[in-house]
Amino acid sequence: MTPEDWHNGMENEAASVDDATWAGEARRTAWFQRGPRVLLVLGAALLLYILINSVLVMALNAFSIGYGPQGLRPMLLGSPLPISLLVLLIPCLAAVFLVRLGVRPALIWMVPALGMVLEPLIARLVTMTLPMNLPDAVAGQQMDLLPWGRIDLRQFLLVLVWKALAVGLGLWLGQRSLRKNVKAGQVGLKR
Amino acid sequence: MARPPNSSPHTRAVLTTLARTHPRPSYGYDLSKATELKSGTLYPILQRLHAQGYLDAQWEDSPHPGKPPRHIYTLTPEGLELAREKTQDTKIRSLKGALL
Repeated sequence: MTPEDWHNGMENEAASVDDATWAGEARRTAWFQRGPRVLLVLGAALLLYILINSVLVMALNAFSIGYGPQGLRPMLLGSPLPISLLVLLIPCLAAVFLVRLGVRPALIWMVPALGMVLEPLIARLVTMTLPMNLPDAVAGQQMDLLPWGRIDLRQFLLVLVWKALAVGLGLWLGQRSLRKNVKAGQVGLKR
Repeated sequence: MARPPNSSPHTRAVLTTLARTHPRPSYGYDLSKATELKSGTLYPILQRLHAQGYLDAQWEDSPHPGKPPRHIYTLTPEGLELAREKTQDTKIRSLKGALL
């Protein structure tokens, strides 16, 4: 029996009895037993999420000041693709993976929400400058690849709503993929 | 002085209850009600006894449609032996208590 089996055993026992008080208490016990592992997974996911977002922002900013394959410039800078990638795809994928790892949906929303709070703080702390590489740039002009400034509350909330929708989609996709494996899961449960 | 392993009153209660129903398996809920232990106390004891080889834990499909499979618990031969020892200890202690 793995810790996961014990957790499922307690959850299933709670779901099998008619005693609502006992079931509620058993579910709370199961949650607290699992808490440290969930916190570890959520912490690692948050770190990875912030790292990927920051690297993407830095790569896009470096590209915009003349580094990398400039032939892709019209496609990358003149299209909604990079922003869609940041705002939609990453939270969606993060939600799919966390659902598959068994994290409760209510906790998964915290990753992009906390990411949005922590990313500006990290941008304020980390300065990574590169000289402009564009033909019309002033010599020696530098640009911070992780810039920070005043946060526009309206824009912040709009992005938050989009990210929430992306997480919702990720939760649905993750749960759908789990349901597909339900037979394999039941075999695992009977181990 | 350190207490010998598996001799706490809660563990003894779990062992005694399981031994009383042996070889019929028990559910977590029934054990909790019989021992009057809350799930937060009962399950760590079951996990420890299982890890020490005194308890067998299996999944059992629910006969009720739509209900998930449940864990059933049975003492292993070593667990049954331990339960008898602990019950004996308790009887000796009660006898000493009555005499002194």
